[in-house]
Amino acid sequence: MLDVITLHSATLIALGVFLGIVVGAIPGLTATMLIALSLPFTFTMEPIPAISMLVGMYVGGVSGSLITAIVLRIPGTPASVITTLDGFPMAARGEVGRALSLGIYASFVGGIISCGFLVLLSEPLSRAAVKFSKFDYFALVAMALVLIVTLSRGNMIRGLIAGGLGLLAAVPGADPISGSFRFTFGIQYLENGLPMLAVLVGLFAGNQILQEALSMGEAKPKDTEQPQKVRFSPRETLAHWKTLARCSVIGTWVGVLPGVGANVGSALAYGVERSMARDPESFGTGSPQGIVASETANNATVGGALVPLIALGIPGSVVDAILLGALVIHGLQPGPFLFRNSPDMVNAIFSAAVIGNVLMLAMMLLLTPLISRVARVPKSILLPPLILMCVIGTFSISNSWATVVVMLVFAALGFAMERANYPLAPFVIGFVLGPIAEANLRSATMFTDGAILPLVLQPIPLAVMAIIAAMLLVNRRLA
Amino acid sequence: MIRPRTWLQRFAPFDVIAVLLGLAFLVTALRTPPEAYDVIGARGWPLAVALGCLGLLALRLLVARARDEAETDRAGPRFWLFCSANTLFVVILSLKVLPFFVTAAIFSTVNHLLLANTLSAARAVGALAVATVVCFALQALFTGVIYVDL
Repeated sequence: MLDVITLHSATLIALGVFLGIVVGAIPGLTATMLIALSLPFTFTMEPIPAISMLVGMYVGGVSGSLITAIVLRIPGTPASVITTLDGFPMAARGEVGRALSLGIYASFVGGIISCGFLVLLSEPLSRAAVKFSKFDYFALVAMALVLIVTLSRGNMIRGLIAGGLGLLAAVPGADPISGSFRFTFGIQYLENGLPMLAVLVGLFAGNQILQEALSMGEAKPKDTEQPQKVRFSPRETLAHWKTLARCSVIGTWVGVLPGVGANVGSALAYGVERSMARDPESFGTGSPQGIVASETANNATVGGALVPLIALGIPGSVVDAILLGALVIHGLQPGPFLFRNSPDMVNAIFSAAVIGNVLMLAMMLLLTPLISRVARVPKSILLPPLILMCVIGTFSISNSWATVVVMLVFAALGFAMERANYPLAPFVIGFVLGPIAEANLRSATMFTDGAILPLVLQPIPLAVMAIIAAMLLVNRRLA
Repeated sequence: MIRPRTWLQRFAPFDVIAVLLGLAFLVTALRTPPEAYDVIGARGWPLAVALGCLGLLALRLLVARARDEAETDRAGPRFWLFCSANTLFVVILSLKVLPFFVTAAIFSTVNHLLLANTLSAARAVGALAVATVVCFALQALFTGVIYVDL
């Protein structure tokens, strides 16, 4: 499996992991933003090194946030919100090294176990998916969209509207069946559709920069001592082996579910561990078990979320939607046929996830003091270069300033959406999955003269509807 | 006590954008001549989605109790200046009035000063010097190695 990774790819994975950790550690910046921003720069790369680097960023981004969650009480990303509950109290009583050590080793174990599930589950699932009909596929895509809407932040109606707008944004351009141009509004540029990269960079990087610019000047919370001379040991983390095992499984399965992110995974695992603990009252006061539970589960969601992406071509999260876009840009069709048509790419993704976790562990152990210092660099220094990268990155897609304008428009749109509490995830998933859903639905109905009912009353669509109902029930219980 | 809201107050700015987008697609879908090559047709899908969106927006406004979800941070003049500066940055770049690295260095400095909320001349000069070097290196990298026509 690992033989598809050359030294060049391994170097890029290391770069991706490092950038992911640094960006994940900086409050306000996320792995999603980093991956969206890096996509245009992978154009000139070969597909395997490019995707491997992006997977490295994904792994690093989820892990890096624990540093600031523990040291500054500001989770770098939502994935580590739960880690602050016990990480910061432990650090505040002078045990920064212990808290970081627990978090880092737990992240590694969670990530590696979820990679195991990724390897074990993807191929059987993709073999089953090869037999799916067009309408079965449409049902699965619709399920992903509905679940992301219902489980995402904000209320369900707003989520549905955001998802619908994402579907609409994917409409302009060539019709997927006939190839004729539609909904171009008289603008020639739209004949090729909205460029996915510009939309993603705008929504995640541009919008994030605007959000940061708006919140500049807010008071910073107190921090703990600098983690300069800390010694990391895996012994205490491994002593919590039952927690590691349980939370890895929870995190992986939460990752598999569309739209349920690492933050939900860590919250769920934390809740389960607290309910099973002999001293539940210690949770929230610096409990080592709390740190291990949260960090194991949030890293385990990465491998889990890659399962539906690789096996079905359906992204389980926004980052996966961007990775799906990256695969398409590099001429690959994610989904059941990826195993048959591009086995090297599948192996590269598996390998990058495993190598990424190993490198993440090494870098976090070696560079945590440095990274915690980088995370304190003022935003007034960090943001101007990011703006430049947004502009250059989107311009490089087609050497056209119109693409940069699209990025700016979607940055403004994303900003307006978040200000009005419309979740971005359904928009992106709608935008990415819209063409797949439309093409499959229209192809399926061509065989039934437009009748939908005979298509719905098939085993897989019925099962999908049952899963949606079950998920909605589970979601209500969790809420 | 939460005071009852008027219809107008239930609208967030994004609701207006969403309504306009939905209407644009709806009108375009209705004006598209029907296609005969398949059952749903070229306009069926967008029409269904646009109608769905507009229906949901109407529903959202009906069930909206108050603007409880309204934004907490107010966008001040500095934020709008930041937005205007970056829009101007892209306009100037597209017109190619100045070499890329010069425009980029100037606007990076402006962004830095706006974000740091300072008008210190010494800081501006220092930032401009650093930005010029960084932007020149970026231009050399992207035009020379990645072949981006900046």
